Amino acid sequence: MKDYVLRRLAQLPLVLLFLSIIVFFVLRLIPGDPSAIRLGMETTEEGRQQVRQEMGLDRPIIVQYGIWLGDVFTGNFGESWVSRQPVSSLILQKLPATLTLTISSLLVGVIIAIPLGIIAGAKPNSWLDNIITTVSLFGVAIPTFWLGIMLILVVGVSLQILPVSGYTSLIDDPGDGLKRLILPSIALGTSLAAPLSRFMRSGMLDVMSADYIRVARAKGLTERSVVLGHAVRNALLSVVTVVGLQFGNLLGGTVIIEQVFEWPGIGLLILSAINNRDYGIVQGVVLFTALAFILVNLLVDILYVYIDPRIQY
Amino acid sequence: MAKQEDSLAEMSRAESGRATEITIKAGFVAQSREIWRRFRRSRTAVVGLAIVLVIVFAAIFADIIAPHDPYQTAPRAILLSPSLEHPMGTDAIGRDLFSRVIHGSRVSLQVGVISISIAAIVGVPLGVVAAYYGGLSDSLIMRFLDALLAFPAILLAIFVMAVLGPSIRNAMIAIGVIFIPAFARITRANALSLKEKEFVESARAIGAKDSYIMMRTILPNCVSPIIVQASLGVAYAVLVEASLSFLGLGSQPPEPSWGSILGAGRGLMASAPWVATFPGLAIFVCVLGFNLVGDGLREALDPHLKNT
Amino acid sequence: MSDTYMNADELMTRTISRRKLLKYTSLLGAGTAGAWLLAACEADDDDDDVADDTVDPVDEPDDDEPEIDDEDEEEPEVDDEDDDEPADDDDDDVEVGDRAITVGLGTEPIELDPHRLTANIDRQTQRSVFSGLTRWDLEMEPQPDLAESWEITDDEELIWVFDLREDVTFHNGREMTAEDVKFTIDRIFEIGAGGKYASYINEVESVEVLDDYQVELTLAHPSGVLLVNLAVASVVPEEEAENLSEHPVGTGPFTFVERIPNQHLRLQKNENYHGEWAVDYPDTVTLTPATEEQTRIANLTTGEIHYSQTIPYDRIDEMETDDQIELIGQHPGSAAYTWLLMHNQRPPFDDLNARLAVAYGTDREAFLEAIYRGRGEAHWNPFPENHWAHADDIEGPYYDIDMAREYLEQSSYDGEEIVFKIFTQGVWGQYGELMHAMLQDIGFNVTLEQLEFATWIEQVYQQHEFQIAQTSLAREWDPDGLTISALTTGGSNNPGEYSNPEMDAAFERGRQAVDQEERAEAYREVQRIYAADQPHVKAVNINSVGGYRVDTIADFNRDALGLTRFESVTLT
Repeated sequence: MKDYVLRRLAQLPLVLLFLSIIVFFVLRLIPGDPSAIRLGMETTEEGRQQVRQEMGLDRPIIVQYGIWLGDVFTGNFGESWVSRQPVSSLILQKLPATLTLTISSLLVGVIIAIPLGIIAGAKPNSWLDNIITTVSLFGVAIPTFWLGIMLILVVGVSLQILPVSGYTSLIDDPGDGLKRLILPSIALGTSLAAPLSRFMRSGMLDVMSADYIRVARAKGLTERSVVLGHAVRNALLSVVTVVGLQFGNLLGGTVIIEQVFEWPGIGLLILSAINNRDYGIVQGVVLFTALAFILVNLLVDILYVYIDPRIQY
Repeated sequence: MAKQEDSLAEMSRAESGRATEITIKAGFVAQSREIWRRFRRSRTAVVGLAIVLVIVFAAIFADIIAPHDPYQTAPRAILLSPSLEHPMGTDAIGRDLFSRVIHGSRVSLQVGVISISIAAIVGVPLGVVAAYYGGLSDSLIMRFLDALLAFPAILLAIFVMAVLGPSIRNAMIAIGVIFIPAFARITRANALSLKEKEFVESARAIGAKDSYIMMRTILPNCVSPIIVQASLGVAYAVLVEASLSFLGLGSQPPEPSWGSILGAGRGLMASAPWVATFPGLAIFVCVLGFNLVGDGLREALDPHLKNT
Repeated sequence: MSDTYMNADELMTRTISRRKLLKYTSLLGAGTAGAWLLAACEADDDDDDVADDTVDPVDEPDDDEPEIDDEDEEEPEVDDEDDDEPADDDDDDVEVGDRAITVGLGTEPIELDPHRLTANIDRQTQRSVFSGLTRWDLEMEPQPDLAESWEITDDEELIWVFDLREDVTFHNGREMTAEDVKFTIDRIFEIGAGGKYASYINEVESVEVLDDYQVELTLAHPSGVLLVNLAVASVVPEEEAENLSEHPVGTGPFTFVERIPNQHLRLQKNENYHGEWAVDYPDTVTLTPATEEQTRIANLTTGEIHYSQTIPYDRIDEMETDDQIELIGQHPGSAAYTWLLMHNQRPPFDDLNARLAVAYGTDREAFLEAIYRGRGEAHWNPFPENHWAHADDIEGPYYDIDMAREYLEQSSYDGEEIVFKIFTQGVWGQYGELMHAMLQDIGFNVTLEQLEFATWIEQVYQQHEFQIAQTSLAREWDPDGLTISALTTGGSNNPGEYSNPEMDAAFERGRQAVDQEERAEAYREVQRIYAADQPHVKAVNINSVGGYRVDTIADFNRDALGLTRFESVTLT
């Protein structure tokens, strides 16, 4: 176990170095020079040269890479040339918004999905199961951004119940923060609920056929207590894992919902950075996401040994 | 003596090759019939198939079905609400929306099918090779896939689109790229278990070439999960294309794609809701159709997963 | 996006092996393999405290009570208040009170350094945070600002002496003097082509400080544009010059508080502002970039924002019927217009007949109606009709498709494929598609190439790699600033490499003449040559429209560039 963790940690710098090279050089392949955004339509060749020089883009690419690598080692991950802020502080600035949205939409997803999954899984192929399965398919098929726009229009504009955009920290102002959180969480949560309920359903199916359930039934327990007392708990275990997996995926995958709701998180940060050719941010966010991914993966591996002692590495 | 052995091996290799081929072929016909029988049993799967067929039909005969030229602008007939003349109304520069949605099915299907093919063509061999050879090549391939997986799909697609530039062809490539790990992993997982199976062992024992074993013994037996993955993947690819087009990274104007029509119409939700409604519905129905087909196929192809 | 797609059934295996789950999830979910446990978010929560320090913990203005109570009447007239305290420098302690407005912008400001910026939107902060020796009045004519008065002291009209106000302090508390004016002009020239303003004042040969409040500019030639262009030569303090991109410090009506990318840019009233022309304007202005138009408008109608600097054209009719919202156009007219760039040195548009074919084949009225909902002007002339330099009597091309086809017939164009490069942002996609259809109608074999904005700029404006492309320009109201960069040889907005010595000479005359009559005559010549040469084809003078909530904002000025003078905002 210890060896495994150490080995994985030892690999980390190499993996990151490899990723940093890929990201850095692939990014330079993107057409559209950063000076294009700075100068816009007011362009002369002289101006272009000058701005490129100011931005350090005139240096040999290897040197640029070295400078950036140095920045990564000092921990600030380089600098945004738009806002001139260190990329690390920008990421920290945007992370709470994305985390909040991610967690709350997962919550919405779980709250919708678990009961539906239990009902469907406890009575497979019943009419209730069929309805739930169909509805969850609808959830898969509705584009999230479309749902988001609809929510803005109906709840935000027509009914005027909730604000339609922006983020307020839940710590600073829980009331306002919560109000703003609702619509994007529903939009994202609904699309998460669909697959989750299907996981829950098959988890239930699986557990329901297990020996101990048969034993429980044989003991004469009511179906209700068999389902709620025994089956659900075990079926939930796997859903928890799926939720964990989704969590990482959402950290950068909320781009479109962030765009629709003007939610200032990691997704919007990288999207505007790509549009602005703000290399520093793109590189930083990509590397950060990958690093977080690897570390959390490792953490999950370790946790699993505690959860399920049968697993060995 | 040694010669004799050689030719014996040669013979049995050829024979066993033929034999496998025949069994596979005979098996395939019987199998497909069985699969179709099981597929048909699911009502939702049949509905899904009907939806998919309608969309395919619309895509093939778009020129005949569409009442108007999808590119014909009419700056003085903009944002007309749905009518007999324009069943879905007109868009912001006066083009007939119904015709554009019909033609949009071409783009969506094209993107769905081609991008998934790209993913399968790259991903499946990677998976087989990784599983078959193991060791260093396995680690290399898996690390490469891990690197792809380290990013959320939509981010990866945006990144690839940024590098390649926005166009429908590049959208296919980008979506193909994000699906490569899916195909490689599913193939690898299956191939790993197949590798140890008797018929693979025996093919190896008689000295069949690696490529032969991979192509003729392992791959055919991985087909069903790949097909399921592909049909579900098409649904997802349509969604991703819509998202990319929504962000302005997908299809090139004036080519109609559901995502780009929706994207252009999203500002009009309040004043001309039909512009964004109909392409949205089209995406929804299409994704639903492929999902139903995929689910149906999975149940038909893999009896073990059938409900208890 | 639903990156969430997974296959439930397949994923279920007897034992809950995470490895297996991970594998299946990823293979089924198409890259759905981020593996975080909820435990991870707890770890991240610790970071929140750090992060929150950088997120401004201010309250949003209270939407429920848009009525401003009587307090604003009691608000002291602050303009002349002599307060040595520098304006609030502490970013984290800004209180956003009742006298605060939130503004939605269509794009996010990029460059805050007033001498380096080029994008129109970046001038919004420039206008609010900085002042120049002169300023533009409501009719866009130059008036005294940091300079109280000026005079020309020689017969050749080359030496200008400016007397500065003595009551001006920078936002950092230091007094503004003639040294700062000299530093500013030197800095603009030092930045040179890295910004756009060096070309605005390139007739200035030297700057001399006569005393603390007097500065002398020596020109290379007489200038009719010096005063109007000095308004954009924002005076900056030397000690802050290094950090202006990050934290602009000037003498304008607002101090810069903070910028949180993708979120907001906040400005606070400069209590020591010297301008008597300023009204009792808001204490806080929060600019929020909302690139998603749908969301921005929803925010306006619900009162989340008080003013949207632009209203998408297709929403204007709807906004007009909303009695909570008042629309506001550009005053006195619009210095923004769209046109079709053509490469004047390459086939087919090196041929005047091909250009004329486009000029006559462009249905400007159709553009105006379909894209801009009739807001603007549809004629060939880049100068708007109410502009003092607009010449009524010059004939230019108009829409006549037969004529267009005839010109095409006469041109050297013989059906080869040409590429029309557009970018898609807002209405630009539709604009490009409509134009594409028109070009085809004329008889061009044209394909549309949609590019991302940065790529489009690089190809069209930096490399001049195009045949025909759409563009727009929002520059100055003065005829020189309006068109010179697009029509003179080597101009920064002239990627089509149009060059006509007569045109250059006409601009030179217009620039050097001090008398407006004389200048108008020069620009008449510009329009005459433009009509004949059609170096590009002007489609529409855009008159963009903003919308504000009447329950919060009473009145203000939105200038010819579509920018807002927040020091002119009165609250209800």
